[in-house]
Amino acid sequence: MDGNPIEIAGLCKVYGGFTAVDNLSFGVRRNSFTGFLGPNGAGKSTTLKILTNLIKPTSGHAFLNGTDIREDPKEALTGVGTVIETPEFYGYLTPRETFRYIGGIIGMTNESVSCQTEEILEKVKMSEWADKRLSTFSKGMRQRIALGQALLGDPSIIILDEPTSGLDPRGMAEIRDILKNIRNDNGNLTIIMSSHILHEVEDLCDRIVMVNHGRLILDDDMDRIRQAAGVETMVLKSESGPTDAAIDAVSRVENVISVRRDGQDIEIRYDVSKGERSKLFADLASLGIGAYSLTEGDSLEQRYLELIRESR
Amino acid sequence: MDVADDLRQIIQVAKYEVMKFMRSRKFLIYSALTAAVVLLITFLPYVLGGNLGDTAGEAFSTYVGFVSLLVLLGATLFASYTLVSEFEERTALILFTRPIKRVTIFAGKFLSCFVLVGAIMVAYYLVAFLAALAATGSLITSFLPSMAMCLAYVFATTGVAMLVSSLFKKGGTAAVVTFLAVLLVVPIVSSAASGAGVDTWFMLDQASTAISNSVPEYVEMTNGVLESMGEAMGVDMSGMMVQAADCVRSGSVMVAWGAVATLASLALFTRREF
Repeated sequence: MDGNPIEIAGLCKVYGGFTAVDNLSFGVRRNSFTGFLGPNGAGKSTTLKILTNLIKPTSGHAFLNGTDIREDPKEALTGVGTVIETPEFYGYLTPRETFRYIGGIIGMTNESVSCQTEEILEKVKMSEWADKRLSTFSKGMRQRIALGQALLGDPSIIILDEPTSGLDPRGMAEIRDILKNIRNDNGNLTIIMSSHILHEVEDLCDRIVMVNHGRLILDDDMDRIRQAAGVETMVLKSESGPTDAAIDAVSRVENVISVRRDGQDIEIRYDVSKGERSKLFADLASLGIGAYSLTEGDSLEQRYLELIRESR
Repeated sequence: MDVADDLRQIIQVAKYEVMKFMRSRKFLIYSALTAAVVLLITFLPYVLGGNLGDTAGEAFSTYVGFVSLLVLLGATLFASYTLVSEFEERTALILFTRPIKRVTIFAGKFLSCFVLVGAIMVAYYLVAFLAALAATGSLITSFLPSMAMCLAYVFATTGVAMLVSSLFKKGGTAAVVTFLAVLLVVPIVSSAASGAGVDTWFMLDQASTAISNSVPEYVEMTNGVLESMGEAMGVDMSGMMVQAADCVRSGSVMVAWGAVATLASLALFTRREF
């Protein structure tokens, strides 16, 4: 198993005539935060549902901490926390009772559940709601509780399937912050998270696994993806705005591949393999167009779109 | 070790299922209905100038006549929802992704439904026993056989309701189908089979008559009423006369219905994908 806490080997799932997962194999490195990407219908959720024993694979294997989920789901899911899609809770229970229920199922004592409950509710910023019934909670609050219950029993693996899906921007930011804190607090945690939100993945993850049509199309470190992008898109803000003269001046700068208007800004495609970003900024500042801000574009998005296009 | 852990998890699931049920509106409705039945049977005869009965058996007979309907209502309200709701309300995404076998979840849920409806029915029997004692000053001896038959019926209807629950996508549909299947479909099949000359002792509706027919005074009273009706109308009612229950056979039939339905439900539930 190469010591990977999550290992997928030749996994297939066929629904009727539709192949959702097609001979998929990859491993998730220990202590990594892996982003699991792909367009709608790529097989991400199906793979994660197989990993969490919600559905059975047609063939192939999925291992959690070396145990095949098909062979022994109870053993495989021991020490694993999950948030699959937007789960619902038993509305008649409070977060404290829900944690006691789940804690009891995973074999925790009442004392350790009580102790961890306070700590986790604090972490997910839900302490003051500990004894309110879950039926009264908003979607964002329920999702924070979902993340909280995934932390019960100090799991070594956390599986997240679009944890910010359907939340408003504030809710998304809160979940992202919680995930960052979880990651910072515990370095011995392996997390796999599927998401459609690329900047969220770029912000949180250090590895990327990408699938399309149920097949693997990328499995790499985030840093290497950034470097491999070669051409980077950047956004320039200037006092003069995107005038014809400014665009013409910018397009003459060394290693700039193309320039276009982007609202009140100028979008630049720059060959980072040939020139440093600092030199670009210095060159732009010397143009006399009042350049005051240069922000990096989304390298993951570029790579994502390229790979999806290629794998069609 | 694994078996002990499974048993611990079954108790944990059952405990929280019962807690969920007891906080639900369904439980409130069910308790209120059962209490209303008890109150009406106990006090209405006195309000109307009569009494509950001359003997303990007579008084008790009125109560047992409503048992099968109350049991079916309990199974419909709780057991027919318990499995389907995990999928319909997406709570399975929390529970099923934990280190717990599907069979353990199933056993915990079955246990909770059986215990809840069973406990309410035991309370119902105790009230009936005490009311009969208070009204007539004598003890009813056929109390235990009837209660045992009632619990066998709770087992059977819970199994059937869980089988229906594992087949449907909506809890509401599962509840309606459970209620109609036990109240209408099974008796129609029984009646058709009986009309064709088949002895229908193995049918659930026939076996469940043991709940009341295990009380001799009930059999006596019912046959007395039928006889009087027959005489008044000039019709021979002997074919409609009820017979004292064969509790072993009827109990076995109800347990068999429960066991087969439960096993079929378990097979469907463990294979069901989210």
